[in-house]
Amino acid sequence: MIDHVSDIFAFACSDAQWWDLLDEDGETPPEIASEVDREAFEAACAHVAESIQGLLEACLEAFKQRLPVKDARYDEVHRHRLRPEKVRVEQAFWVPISGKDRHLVCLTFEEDWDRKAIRLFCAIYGPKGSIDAFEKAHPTHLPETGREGDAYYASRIALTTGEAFPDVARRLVDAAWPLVESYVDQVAPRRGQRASPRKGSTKS
Amino acid sequence: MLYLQTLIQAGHALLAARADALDKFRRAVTTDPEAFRARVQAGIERRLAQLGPERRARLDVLGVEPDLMGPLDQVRAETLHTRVIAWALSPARLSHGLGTAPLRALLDRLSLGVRFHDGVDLDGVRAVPEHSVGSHGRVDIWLPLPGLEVLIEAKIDHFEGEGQVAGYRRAFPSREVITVFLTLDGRPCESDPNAVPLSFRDLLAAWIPVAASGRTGEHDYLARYLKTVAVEFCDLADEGGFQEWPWARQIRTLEFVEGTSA
Repeated sequence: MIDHVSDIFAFACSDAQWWDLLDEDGETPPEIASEVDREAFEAACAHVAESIQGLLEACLEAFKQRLPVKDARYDEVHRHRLRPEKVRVEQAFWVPISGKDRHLVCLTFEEDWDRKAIRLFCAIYGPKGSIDAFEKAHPTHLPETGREGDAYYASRIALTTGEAFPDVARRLVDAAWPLVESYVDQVAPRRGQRASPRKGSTKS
Repeated sequence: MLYLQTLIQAGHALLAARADALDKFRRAVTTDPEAFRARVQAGIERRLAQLGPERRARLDVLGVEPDLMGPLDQVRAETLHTRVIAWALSPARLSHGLGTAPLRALLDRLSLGVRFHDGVDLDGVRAVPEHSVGSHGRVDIWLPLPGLEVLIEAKIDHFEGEGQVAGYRRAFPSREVITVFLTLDGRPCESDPNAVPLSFRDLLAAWIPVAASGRTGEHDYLARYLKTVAVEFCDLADEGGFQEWPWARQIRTLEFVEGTSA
């Protein structure tokens, strides 16, 4: 079982072109004709797929450990695949808020905003109104955060060769958790706590 | 005991083979990525140069920019897709640009090409999007052909409602009906086992030769729609022209175009 960022996994993340080629369903480049090379490429693809799975499992575990035990606003963390045909490799889970619209915390491997390397992102997905209000309260001035469509990116991290998956997961969750918690406070305030004003509300 | 030992040995051999393969990958790729990058690019260029003019024109269809639905931020809007598809299946709404070509290409894909051969007049056909079928709801596309009704139900981010497509079929009890279940993965329809499964990739393969066959505004419009389908639903092409696409997409798209019918 792979438990750390290997040189090959870090190499795959270093360039979106490598990442695409080493994706789970990646294509063997056309001039790699010999069976030996093909075998090497397939082994690297399998290695990257296992690394992704291992790292995402570690992140899921790290998020579970953060969930408050006696807070009725949270339930079990559920795995959820979000449009797998759109985002090929990802793991998402609900931020489960009873009786409310669906909100997701989603982990994805995506091109960084410079469109070069691949980073591990943690994003909050929710109804547009909720994300709008959250963005208003938390301007995306931090370099690791950003808004895209109905997603608010709470953290993004680079992967370094040799780093253990639980350490990577801890880094990701440490960065994202305050924003996730704040988002949950906004959409499902604790008893006695005021909800954030809705967009367009005339109440002060 | 012997069995267990054999199993452990096999496991070790497997791990060793895998480590060996990863070392080969390091030697072939990671030790000199620039040399490898050049080899990949040269391979892709060779393959591109080998495309004949027809397939090259099909590849160019996927290089059109912008696509139809991307700028609208509506790439997964089911009803918009069905409206565009209904438009393309309506010779009565089209000029001599596309004419009956998209309709005939789809009928070929549904194995109805012989029945609706060139001698059958389809010029007046008009497909109706969001067609009401009474208590059974609305079918995405109703395509009335001479002597046959084709009902197309498209699903992008949703699943079929309980008995949905079977219900549409029952709404036309006295007529000959073919149901088509259009999805991202071409999965079979749950409620109607006789429905013809069709993927958006099938639709793309059927229509890309049509879009590449002319230069009218209608051809261009269809090409821009197919670009949306290719990028968003088929993992083919990407923003911009061929040279701007990631390698993996270049390779996949070349394979796709090479595999389209002559």
